[in-house]
Amino acid sequence: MKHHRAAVLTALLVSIAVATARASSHREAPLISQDPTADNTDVYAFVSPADPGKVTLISNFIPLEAPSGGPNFFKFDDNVLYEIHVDNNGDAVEDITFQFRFTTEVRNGSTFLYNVGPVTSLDSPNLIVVQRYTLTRVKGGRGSANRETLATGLLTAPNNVGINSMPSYPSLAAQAVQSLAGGIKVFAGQREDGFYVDLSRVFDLLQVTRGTPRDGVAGFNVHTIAVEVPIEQLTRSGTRPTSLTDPAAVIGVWSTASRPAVSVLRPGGRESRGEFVQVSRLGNPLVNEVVIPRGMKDAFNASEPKDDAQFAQFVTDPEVGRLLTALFGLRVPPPPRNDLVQVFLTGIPGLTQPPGVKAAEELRLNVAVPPNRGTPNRLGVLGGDLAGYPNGRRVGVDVVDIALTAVSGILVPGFGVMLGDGVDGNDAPYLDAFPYLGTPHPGNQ
Amino acid sequence: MTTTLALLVLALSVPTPSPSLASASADALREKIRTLEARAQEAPAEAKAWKELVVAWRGLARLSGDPACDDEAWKALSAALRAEPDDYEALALKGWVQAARHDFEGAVVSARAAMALRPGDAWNHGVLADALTELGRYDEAVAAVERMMRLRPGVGAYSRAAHLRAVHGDREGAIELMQMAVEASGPSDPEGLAWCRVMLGLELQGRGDHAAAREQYSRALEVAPGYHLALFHLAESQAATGELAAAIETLERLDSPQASASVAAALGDLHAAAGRPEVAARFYRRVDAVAALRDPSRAEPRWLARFYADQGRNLDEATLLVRAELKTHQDVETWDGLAWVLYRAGRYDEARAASDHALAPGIVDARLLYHRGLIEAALAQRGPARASLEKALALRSLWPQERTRAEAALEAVR
Repeated sequence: MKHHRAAVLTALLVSIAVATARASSHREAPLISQDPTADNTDVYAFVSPADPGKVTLISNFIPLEAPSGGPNFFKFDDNVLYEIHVDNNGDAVEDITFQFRFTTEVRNGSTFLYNVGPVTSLDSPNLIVVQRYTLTRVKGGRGSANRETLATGLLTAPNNVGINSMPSYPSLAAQAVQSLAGGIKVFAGQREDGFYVDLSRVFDLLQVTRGTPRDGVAGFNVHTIAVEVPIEQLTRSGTRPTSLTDPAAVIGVWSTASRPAVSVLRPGGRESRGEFVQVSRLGNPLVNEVVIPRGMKDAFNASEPKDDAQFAQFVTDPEVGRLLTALFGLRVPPPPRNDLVQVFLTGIPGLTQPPGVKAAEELRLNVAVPPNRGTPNRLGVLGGDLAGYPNGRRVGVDVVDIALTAVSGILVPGFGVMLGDGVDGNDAPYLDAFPYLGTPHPGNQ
Repeated sequence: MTTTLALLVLALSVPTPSPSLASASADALREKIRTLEARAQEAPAEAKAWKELVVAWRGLARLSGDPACDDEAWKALSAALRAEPDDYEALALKGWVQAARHDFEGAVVSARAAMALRPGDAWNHGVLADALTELGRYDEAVAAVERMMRLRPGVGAYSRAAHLRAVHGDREGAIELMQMAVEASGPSDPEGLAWCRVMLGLELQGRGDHAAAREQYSRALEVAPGYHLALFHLAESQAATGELAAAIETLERLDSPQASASVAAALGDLHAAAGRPEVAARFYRRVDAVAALRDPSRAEPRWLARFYADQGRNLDEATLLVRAELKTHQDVETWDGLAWVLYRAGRYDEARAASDHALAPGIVDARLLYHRGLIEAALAQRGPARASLEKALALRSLWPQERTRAEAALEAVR
């Protein structure tokens, strides 16, 4: 959901068209700048359709990767700590965290190429830029010493630079799906962006009803971290719940990215890297983007779910709701919007609300709901498909339409209409097995 | 990406995100501005469209280098604040626009006021740090970036910290941080990535590491073809290593009738160094013609003063230009500009005092040391002059004319 920003800023700030050279009269460092390598775009959590005893957790970074990225290829940032968190008892504190840390190897010194010949395996000597990663599982809250390195030196799937370099990209990328002890699978690397939205309709004053719909993120890729984990390794009971009402059945999921703070000066050349500071946080789609107001975003991105009471007012009286009224004369439920609190903060009673839940922005998944392997409904729960958003989020679900419709008040008797951005599906196929997100668009066809 | 203005900027969305830089043209922005102006006129009592106009005009200012755009940004901002005097976003934008218009004192006040409203927004700390840096209030600037870093480490905080390290003489530390800034950037933000690479290149060049610097410039040009800063500093690097023909070729890519005076002056210097004084004179006449227009976007006052000092002419005017600049702008470069102008005017004691100001934070820069060395030599301080000039030459980043003069002066004080 955060994709749109990159495009806009690029359009706005690019100074390439400058015909006249001009030594800047003062130094203007990026301020409206992006942080794409730590920019969390989408989080998914769902019971794996191809392996229903497991849950797939996915987090995407680096918005709007143009396939023809040229020699400046996309990669994870070695300085960033990427994490996917799971709260399995509803107390708004992580109980299990999967940490990804990357290291980049540039072979053949400084060359501008990404590869020097056909690449058919992940460790091909023809690949010049190779990223490896370490996967660590942390049990307990932040700073817990209960850490276990699940794997090191794992290879990422490279960028899909094109058919000449990578004649069979799908099988190359499949090598990056690693099976670890305990039935865990992991993947990191480039994927097709499975999100779809009409950016201008949703974000340019919510022009939901005008013009021809157009998927604004069609044709772009992202970088994905994904783990598939047996359900009993994620629940608080250590078992696989089979009843919707099992108190252990609901897990809450969110993802973060953190960067090291660095001391500005370093007298005597001493080590200057300090603590990791969380710079990006994402659970439910749309909350960070649309619900949290400007001026609060840095604070939200740095925050932890346990402190989310400070943001509750933006959910109980969202600006988007007021906009729907102002622009379309739509009668939305009056604040406080407890219906939206359930969608975004506490989970829906009887489906995604754990007993004794503490309100917090987490993507909540009831793992006892079996995956829909027949005909998944794009509108998820609103379309009668309990295995879709807001019960977790599987690939392909139309979260934009669901969220807009929810804001219109569909969950409150007497309110709500079906709203949509007019874009009802993705521009590329998904995979039917882990990591589920599709093959990235190639750099050349 | 999480700044205050993310959603504000969004509303300016060009609906087709395109990887092609060429499409992100100033024309599209001008059209957006027309639309927004119409919207603002429809609802002048609402801040929203005015604020979007501020961002659009600032964007166009960056694209075109035309300071008139920042005057328009200021008008739009004033309208936004007239409409909604307590609007947080408008208040946060205020310091940004003020700094762009070189009202650095005003920017400090505005940034602090906005900060009081939303202490957790890293944006205001960045605006504050930039203004303090231009004012030469480096200790306070360091504190502002420390706060920005705690709120949101990333390109913005890393690149600002890198500059402050360089000002304090820690070039290696600056390089480390600019590398982190480059890593944090990405091709989806071509302007940001190219800017970071050029700044990294400049630090590498500053220690005489020309091969590494040029790799950064080349990579900046790959992601942002024709990027003027990359071409200009690439030419500087080529000039510093005596590759005059290559440097001229690079600069010719930037040259046009509308080009800034600095391009013409650099071409003049290169032709002079290559033994073509008539060609050089032609370029210098162009500089004079541009200077006569008194258009700061094409001949920045501080730069023009240094040009006159390099040429040893118009020194009274040059002194006035720098002194005027110093009223609002007290960073190390402006003090060095004053030192150099005064030295050329034969006012050596005053020149040394200005140079003291320039070097006070500890910066190690070939040009500043070269100016220092000549001043010390003129004051018959042979030991210090020798040390300054040797250090300046060892950094291998002076222009040909500067190098020749530095070598001659060093010979004289040996």
